[in-house]
Amino acid sequence: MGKIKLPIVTFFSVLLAFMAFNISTVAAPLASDQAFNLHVKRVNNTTINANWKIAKNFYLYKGKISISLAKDNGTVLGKINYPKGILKENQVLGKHQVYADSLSINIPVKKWGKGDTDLLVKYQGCEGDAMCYPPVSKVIAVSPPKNAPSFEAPATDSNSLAAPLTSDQAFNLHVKRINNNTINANWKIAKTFHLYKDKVSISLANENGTVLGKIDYPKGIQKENQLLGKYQVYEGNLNIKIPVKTWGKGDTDLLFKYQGCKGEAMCYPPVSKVIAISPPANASLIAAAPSQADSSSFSTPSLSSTQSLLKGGNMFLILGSFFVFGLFLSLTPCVLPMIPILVGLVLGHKDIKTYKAFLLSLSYVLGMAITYAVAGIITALLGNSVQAILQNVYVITACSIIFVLLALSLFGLYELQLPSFLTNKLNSAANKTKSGSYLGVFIMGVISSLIVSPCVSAPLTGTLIYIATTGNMLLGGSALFVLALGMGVLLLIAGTSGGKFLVKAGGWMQVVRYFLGVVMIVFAIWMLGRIIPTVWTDLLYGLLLVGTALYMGAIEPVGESRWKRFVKMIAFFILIWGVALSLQFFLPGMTSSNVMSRQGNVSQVGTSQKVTKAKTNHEPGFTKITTVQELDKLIAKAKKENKPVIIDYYADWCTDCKEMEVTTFKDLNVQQALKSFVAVQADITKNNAVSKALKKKYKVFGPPYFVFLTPQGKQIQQMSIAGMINAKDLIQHLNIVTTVYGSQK
Amino acid sequence: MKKIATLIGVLTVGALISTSMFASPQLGKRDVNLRYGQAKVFVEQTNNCIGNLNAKIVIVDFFDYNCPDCRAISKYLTNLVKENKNIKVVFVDYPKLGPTSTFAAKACLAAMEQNKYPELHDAIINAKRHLTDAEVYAIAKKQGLDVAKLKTAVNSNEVNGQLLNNLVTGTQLNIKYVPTILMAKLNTENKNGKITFVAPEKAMLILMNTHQETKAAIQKQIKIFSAE
Repeated sequence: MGKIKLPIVTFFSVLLAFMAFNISTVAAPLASDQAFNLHVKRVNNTTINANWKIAKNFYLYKGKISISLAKDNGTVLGKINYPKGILKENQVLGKHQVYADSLSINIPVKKWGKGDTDLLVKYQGCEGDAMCYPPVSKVIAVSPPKNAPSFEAPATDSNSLAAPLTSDQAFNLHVKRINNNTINANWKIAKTFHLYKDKVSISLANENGTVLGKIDYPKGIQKENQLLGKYQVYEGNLNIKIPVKTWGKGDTDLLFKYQGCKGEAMCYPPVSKVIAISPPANASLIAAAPSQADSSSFSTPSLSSTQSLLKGGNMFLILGSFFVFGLFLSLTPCVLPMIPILVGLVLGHKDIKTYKAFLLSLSYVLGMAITYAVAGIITALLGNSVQAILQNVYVITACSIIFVLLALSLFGLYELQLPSFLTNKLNSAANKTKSGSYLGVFIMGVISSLIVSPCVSAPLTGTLIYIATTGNMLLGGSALFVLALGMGVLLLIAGTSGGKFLVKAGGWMQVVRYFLGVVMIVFAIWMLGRIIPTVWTDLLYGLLLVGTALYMGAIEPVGESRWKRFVKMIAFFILIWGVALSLQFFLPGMTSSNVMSRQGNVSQVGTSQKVTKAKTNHEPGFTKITTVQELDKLIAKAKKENKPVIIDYYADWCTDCKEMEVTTFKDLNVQQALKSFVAVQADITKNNAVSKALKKKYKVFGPPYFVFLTPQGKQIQQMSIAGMINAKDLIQHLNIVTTVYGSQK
Repeated sequence: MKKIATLIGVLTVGALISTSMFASPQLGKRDVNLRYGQAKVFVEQTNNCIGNLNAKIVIVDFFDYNCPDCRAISKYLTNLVKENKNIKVVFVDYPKLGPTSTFAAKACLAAMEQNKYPELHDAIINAKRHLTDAEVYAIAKKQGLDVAKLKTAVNSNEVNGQLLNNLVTGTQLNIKYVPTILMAKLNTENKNGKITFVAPEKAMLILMNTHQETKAAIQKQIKIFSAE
């Protein structure tokens, strides 16, 4: 938001300056020395001070000021720090900085030469934006200190000639209680210096009963370099408000830790300061809030690209990116299935016109977009996993049934269709217009986005984590809305053109409808895959394929035309495919498919009890846990064995997790690499408080998700993996962690 | 005919949809721009450098202390910056050859705190004996480092984090072998530049065995950059 404010501030300051200028032009112009009154004097043994008194409405240009030696007498000047000016912008000069009122520059002297030192001071300024004075060059003699003909300032900093500031000068900390429940900490950070955001910490130095609230560390300036990766720094002025929930007995000792650097080069050692704060006279007791989960990062906060984009960029950039992001998402298997649904819905209406098809598609897309926006806002409000609710067994079953019903109607078994049913109801209730069907399509958009959203969870993770952690509802809601609009572009085109195209076409439309029906059943089975074993879904797919093949005429006598032979060829192939899939169910272990080795016993016995038992030891080498206490025990074990930790967040309904079991984790090299780790599988199948706590510990949104810890139990943030990963990439990942943390002594 | 075309079309779309529904998301795919960003992170490094820090031509050397060719290349680069004042060399610790390599790399990264990275790097990469931990500390002592300070810094979060970043960013750049050379020509006016791999990916395997070829490739690229 700061970026938006800045132009406004600039605009008003320019406006004010302009008004002031109009008044001042009445007076006679000032002489240059009156406008910019320069005084130069030596303030101590190592510093000369140059001071300009700048007349009202006049500016000095920062870029035009220079101070140098007029002649070489052996004097050595240090690096001069020109203070930060007022940022201005105009068409001629672009962005530039100016000084107004007064300007004071300290010139460090490293060594005094023989006799007086002649300084050459150059500057140029203007009155308002209109009348500029010619550049001024002045030579000013400065006498050396009496006792220092060969005085040399101590130089410990090889990169800068100026004498280094002490830590307190560089980072000037002031702490005071500003009201009954707030302490304010203020750092004045010297120019060119910065404090690392993640090195600033405030805590209680000792227990006197005081309870601090959650401290919001303000957003810093985003930086990136090779050593630290992405990190944030504070410059200029840093203000942190420390909420106090309860005041303890006597003074409260606060421990302030911070560390900073000058530029990129010179870093100060970390500072720890204890400052005593006296409680307010009428200290009232307020109940303590639950403490924050510990997720300290070891060096710098490394955010995922989406998260950092949200933190750094401005609103338009964010929304633009999300639109494009949505466009790409629409090409994924998550959104593609929605196309037949939409076209199916449009197809449901006879005599459809292009504009109607477009409007129907638009209502569908809007339904989707609004759902996403609402989901974003809800996530911000709850800070909780909405995904898990949507992946509830009943919700999935209900959705599968809806899809099968839609498919059956597309097959022509009956004419009852969800949108027309809604249309009839609403039409009779409201008026004779067709608006009801828009609403029906809109609702379908809502429903289908709810269904497919778990599938796109991996890319959404960053966004939702951010929204959940910040609670920024406006940004979260609008970002997801725009994302869904991007996802809808393809749907809009398909819906509009599809409607037009299909209505104009003749009898083959029936084929398209059948095909869409098959796709819908595929989608229904695919969703069921989250709650039923793979062998069962394979059987269902097999049945579907065999059925399709039979309807296509796989075993009927071949007709005359060539294209019928061709169709039969395809149908026959589909038949074989379907039979092969079904065979896996009836003859486990016959095929090489690794699905068998995992759940073959389930299909043989086929009881639900066995399904539960088969859940244990999905991934070789992993210890399965379900509670934070169990996890903590394993972390302690890792510390003892000096091994890094990998935590694999898993759930039975997570299809990607299941796929990885038979691909990534079957890989022997992965298994070998995992031997250097304490491998933990955090099972969050049940969406209860215990599994929520497990997720919250490392801010995991949903499975599959991998968290890495150092042997000391600290999270290695940049190594986290969201979503599926193949064996090759996982091995690379594991090797990096073992290289750095595996051989610690 | 129209019907056949339609049917084929429908089947193709169906096949595409059904396969894409089961396809896993592609991980590890990187575009050129992303790579450029990663490469730049190394190019802009200043603490682990030799030569002219303001030079427009930057050579980034991904190395391992136990790799003989890395030693040869390091020596070559050290001499190169003495002859050619328009070059900056960035050494990127990229341990691939086991725990002693990792330890040596951590020791050098820890030496940054004492502003002694180039000195310790040079001494370790030219070491004549097996790089045990004790040997590394002995070398550090000889180079005038505060060994006690070094020992505490070696397994600090900062050093671990730096090494991790080297490995992660290098992996993102698809650097699998040492030595690998990355070269950049910087345009200091707008801070944009041109970054190239001297060793194209295919040639990396071969170059790993022949440092002569790497040297030749570096020289050729310097000529190209200088002529631009």
